[in-house]
Amino acid sequence: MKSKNYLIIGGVIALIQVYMGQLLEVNGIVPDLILVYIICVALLSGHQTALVLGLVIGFLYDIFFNDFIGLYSIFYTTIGYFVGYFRNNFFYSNVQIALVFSVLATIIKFMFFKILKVIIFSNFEMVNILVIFYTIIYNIIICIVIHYILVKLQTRVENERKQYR
Amino acid sequence: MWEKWKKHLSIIISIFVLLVLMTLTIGSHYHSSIASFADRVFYPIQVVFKSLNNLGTSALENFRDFRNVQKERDQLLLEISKLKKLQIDNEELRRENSSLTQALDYQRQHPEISFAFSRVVMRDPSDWYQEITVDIGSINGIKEGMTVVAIQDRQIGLVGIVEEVFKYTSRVHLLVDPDKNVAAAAQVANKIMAPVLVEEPPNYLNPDPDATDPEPSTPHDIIWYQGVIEGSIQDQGTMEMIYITHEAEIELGSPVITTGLGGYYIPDIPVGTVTKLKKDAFGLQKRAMVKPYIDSSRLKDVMIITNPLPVKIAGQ
Repeated sequence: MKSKNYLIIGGVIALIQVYMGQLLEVNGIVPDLILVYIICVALLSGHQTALVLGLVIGFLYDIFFNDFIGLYSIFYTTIGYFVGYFRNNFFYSNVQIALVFSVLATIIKFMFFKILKVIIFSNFEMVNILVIFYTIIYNIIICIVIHYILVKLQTRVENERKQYR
Repeated sequence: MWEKWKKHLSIIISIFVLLVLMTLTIGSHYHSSIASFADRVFYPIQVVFKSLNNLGTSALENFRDFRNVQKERDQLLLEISKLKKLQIDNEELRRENSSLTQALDYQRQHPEISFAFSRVVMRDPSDWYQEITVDIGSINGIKEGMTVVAIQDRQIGLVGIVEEVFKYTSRVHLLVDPDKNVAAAAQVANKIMAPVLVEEPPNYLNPDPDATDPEPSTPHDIIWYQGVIEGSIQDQGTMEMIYITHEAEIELGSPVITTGLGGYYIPDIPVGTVTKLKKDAFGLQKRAMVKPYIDSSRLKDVMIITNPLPVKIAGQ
């Protein structure tokens, strides 16, 4: 699948996350659709696509919902790039790999945001471990769905491409 | 070395640029102007997604409301069942209260008679009209042979006799049981008489201003015909009065009361009313079908007459 298509889907997912996140909320826990999507794209398409995706979506996210530019864009860009960079070390279309990266990325996200908040705003408020735990669980469920859809889409596109040839 | 880092140039530059932007926008007004510009550009998309969100949210709220309504309905149903049970209990207590009030009133009218109030606690379902067990026994001064009466619809009536007494309970043999043939000597009037009802206790809360004193009863020319009363085999729950002389002119609806002869029951206890009259096979005697005042099938509270006791003549 072309990077442009990933970007369009990413845009839609970002809008769903932003405007329809309320519908996905369960007991105050909201999944990070963008993070999960970037991980899946990084595994399926590589680090360059994930980098662009993370940069664009993260940048827009920062513009709309953050007090400054850089927090989400740096995080999404870096995560997308590194997951995509290491994809060749694994059988990347396997959903388990996506799940492992989702768990790790969720934990890193909480840590990263906490550290940045401490550095920038001197906010020493403790992070609720249970929130992190339930977010991880929720992200795992979302990851299975997004990964399945993306793999199906990719297979379909590749089959169509083969037919044209 | 350069070749190694060259591969990661894109991410290095991206992070560098973002860090620069971060430094520039933290605490500055640049960010708000960029945000307002982006907001204007993305406004149509925002509108579409916000309306979709509103649609989804309202659907979700409806679903939650529906679940809440279901929960409330379950709670209300539970509450209704509790209230129904309470209502049944209330009805039962009201009925019991009314029955006991009538009994007390009867006792006030007949001070010569002493009662022991009791409740039916056991009944043999295989033979409903045979016997009942009441919740008082020898410890309450109950003795075998005592007459058992009850009040239903303000009318006192004979129920049976105490057959067996235990410490805390007593077994009462019902008069309507045809099997044991514990017949009662009875007498039947030739005319319909005004029913002797237990007086209603005065309603002090809502006195009826139109109420007048009942007219004093005028003496009647009543002839009493004697006979023996026993439970009916054909029609369970009713009784038959036998050995009535063929000359007896009895109206349907005439009252039947005990005579006290035979020593089984005390005299003048109302039994029931005549519903049907027929002659026996040879036409020498009459037979009357008697509908008892007390419906044995709905007996709940009974009164055992502790004084006077039936008098048995020596040799009986």
